[in-house]
Amino acid sequence: MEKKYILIFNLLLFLFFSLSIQSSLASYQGIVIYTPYTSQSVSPGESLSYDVEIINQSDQIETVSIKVLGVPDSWDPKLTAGNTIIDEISVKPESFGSDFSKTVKLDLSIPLEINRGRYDLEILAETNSGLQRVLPLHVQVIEQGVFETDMEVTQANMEGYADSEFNYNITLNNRTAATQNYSLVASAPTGWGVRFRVRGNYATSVQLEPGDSETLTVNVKSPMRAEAGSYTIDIRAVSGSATAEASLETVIQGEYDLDLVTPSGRLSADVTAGQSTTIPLLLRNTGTIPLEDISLRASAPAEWSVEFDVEENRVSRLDAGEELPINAVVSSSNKAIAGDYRLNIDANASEASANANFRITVRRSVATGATGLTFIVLVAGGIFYLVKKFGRR
Amino acid sequence: MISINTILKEVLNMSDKSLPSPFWVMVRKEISEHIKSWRFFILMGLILLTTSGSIYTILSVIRDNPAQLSANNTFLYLALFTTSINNLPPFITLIGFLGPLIGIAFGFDAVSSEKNSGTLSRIFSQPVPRDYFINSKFAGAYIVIILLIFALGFLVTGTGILYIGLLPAAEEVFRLFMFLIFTAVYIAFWLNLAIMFSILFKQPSTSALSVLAIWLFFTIFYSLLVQFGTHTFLPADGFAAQQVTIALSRLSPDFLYNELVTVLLNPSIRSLGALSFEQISDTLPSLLPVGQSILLVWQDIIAIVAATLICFGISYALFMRREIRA
Repeated sequence: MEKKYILIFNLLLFLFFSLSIQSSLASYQGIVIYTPYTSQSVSPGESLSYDVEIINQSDQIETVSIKVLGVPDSWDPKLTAGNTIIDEISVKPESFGSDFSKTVKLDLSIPLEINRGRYDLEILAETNSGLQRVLPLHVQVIEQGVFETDMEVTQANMEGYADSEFNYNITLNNRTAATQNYSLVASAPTGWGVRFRVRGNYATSVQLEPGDSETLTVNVKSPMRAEAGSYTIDIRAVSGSATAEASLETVIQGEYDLDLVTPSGRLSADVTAGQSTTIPLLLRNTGTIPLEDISLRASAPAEWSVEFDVEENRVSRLDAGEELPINAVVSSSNKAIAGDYRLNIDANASEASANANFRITVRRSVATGATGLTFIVLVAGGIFYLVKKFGRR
Repeated sequence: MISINTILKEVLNMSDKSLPSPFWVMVRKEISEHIKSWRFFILMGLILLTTSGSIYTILSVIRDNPAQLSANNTFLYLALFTTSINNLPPFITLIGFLGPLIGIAFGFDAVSSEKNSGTLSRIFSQPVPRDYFINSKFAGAYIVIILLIFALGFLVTGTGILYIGLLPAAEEVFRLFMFLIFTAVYIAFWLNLAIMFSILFKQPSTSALSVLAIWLFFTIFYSLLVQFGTHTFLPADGFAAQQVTIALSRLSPDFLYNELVTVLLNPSIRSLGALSFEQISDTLPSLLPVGQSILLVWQDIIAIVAATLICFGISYALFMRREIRA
C-alpha cells in the first residue's frame, strides 16, 4: 500500500516535472515579428516601406503566412522578400544554424488623394499551428493630399528692351492619378509672341504621367516698338480634367536711339570750290523714349563751314518715332582742290547719338579758266593783226 | 605712202572740177617732201624702237602679273602710257623727249635751205601771196606731225587691245585723245621755234644747233638750275622753296608738257605743286573727271598753246619783213 503511494507520488512528481519542462519550453516556442520603425510620417504621393523581421524561436521550421490588415486597396500594399511577392514564408529554427530570422518587406504607396491624419494598420503573422502574432503600425500623413495639376514659375518677372526675348522657366506637375495631356495656351497683348518649349523643341501640348513633372520654357518676344511699361502674360495648361495657370510679367524698359540719315539715302554731294551746297538730313528718334536737347555738329575740312537750319544747331525735343528734316548748308573753302573731301555730321543727345559720313566732291569752277582764254584770244588777235598788216601784198 | 598720198589728195583737193588752191598745192609738196625724207624715216624708227620697248614691257607685265601695276589704277590703257617698269621710261616721257626732235628736224632748215638753194625766189615768181610760203611750211610739217602722233597713239592702243582683250573705256579714249592733241601742239611749238631760227640764220647748221641747244637746256639743264638756285637761296624743305621751284619750272615748255600729260593721263592726281595743310585736311582719295583734270592743267594748256602761237607769230612777222629776193 505504501509502495502504491510512492508510485503515485513519483508519477505526480514526474508529471509536475514534465509539465514544468513543458511550460518552460512554451515561453521559447513559436515566432516573433519585429520592425524598428513602427510609426512613420509621409506626404501624399510618396511611398513607404517597412522591413519586417520574422524570428523563429521554436525548435522546428515554422511556415508563417503574413497578411496586412487595415490598409485600403488604393495604398497598394505589397509584401516582398528577395524580389518576389510573397504571402507566406518559412523560417528555420535557431537550432538549425544562424539563419533563424527572415526579413519581409512591406511597400505602401500613399495616394495623392488622401486626408491628413493618422492611419493604423496591422501585420498579422500566423503559423501553421495556428499561433498568431500581430504587429501594429502607424502611418502619419502629414499634409492634406491634393488631386490637381500645378504650375510653378521660378522667376515670374523679367525686364528688358523692346524687340527682345524673354525666357521664363515653369514647372508643370501632374498630381492627378491619371495621365494628362495638357494643351498650352497663352494670352498676351497684341503684337507679342509667346511660344512654349519642351526639352528644346517648340510645342503646344505636353503629356505627363501621374506624379510626373516637366520643365517648360516660355519664350516671350516683345514687339519692335513696345512702349516702356509692364505687361502681363497669362499662361495656362489645360487638360480634360485639370487646369493650371500662371501669370508672367514682362517689364519693357525704354530705349534711347537716334538715327541721322538723308531722305534719299545718298551720302555724297557735289560742290564747286568756294561755293555752298545744301544737304537735306533726317533726324529720327528710333528709340521708345522722347529725346531732349539734341545738338548737331559737323566736322568739316579746314576752312569749310557747315550750318544747320535749326536754332543754335540744337533740337529741343524729338518724340519717340518722330522724324525731323534738317538742311545742312555746306560751304567749301575757295582753296579746296578738286576731288573728294570727307564731311562728318554728328547728332548728340545725352542718351544717344548718331552720325553720318559724307563724301563731298569738289569741282573747280570753269570760270577760273576764262582768264587764260583771254590770253589765247589776245595772242590770236596779234597773229590776225600780223596777217592783216603783212599778208597778201 | 601711196595710200597716204591718195588720202591727202582726197582731203586736200576740195573738188576735181576746180583747180586746187595754190596754197594746198604747196602744202602737198611739203608733205611729200617730209615723208620721203631720210630724217622722217630715222626719227620714225627711233621713236618706234624706243616706245615699242617700253610698251612691250608694260604689256607683258599686264598679261603675266597685273598686280605689279598700281592696285588703285583702274585705267589700264592710261597705265600703258604712263607706267615705268624696269627703269624703262614710260611712253609719255619718251614722246616728251623725242617729240621736240621731230619738230626741230622738220623746221630747222625750212626757210634757209630754200633760200640758199634759190628755190624761194622761184616760188615767188609765181602769182602767190607771200605768206602762203611760211603758212604752207608750217601746215605741211604739222599735218605730218599730227598723223605721226595719232598713228603712234592708235598703234599703242591697238596693240593694247590685242594683248589685253578689253576695250578702253570712253573716259580713257577721251583722255588719250586730249593727250595726243596736246602732244601735237607741244611738237608744233618746237616746229615753230625751229622755223623761227631758220628765218633768223642763213646757215641751217647754225639754226639746228641753236634750237637743239635750247631743247637741251630746257629738257636737261633748266630743272637742275632751278633746283640749284632755289636751294641756294631758300631752305630746302620749305613750302616757299617748293612754290618757287614750281613757279620757275613752269617757264620751261618741257616741264609744262610733262605736267600737262601726267595730269591728263592720271585721274588720281588732284592738284599741282605744293598744297597747304588746310587743303589736304579730310581729303579722300578719288579720281577726277576729265573736265576737272583739264581745268587743273588749264594754265599749262594756255601756256603751251600761247607759246606755239607766239612763235608762229614771230616767224610770220620776221619772214614777212625780210628781204628775200636778194
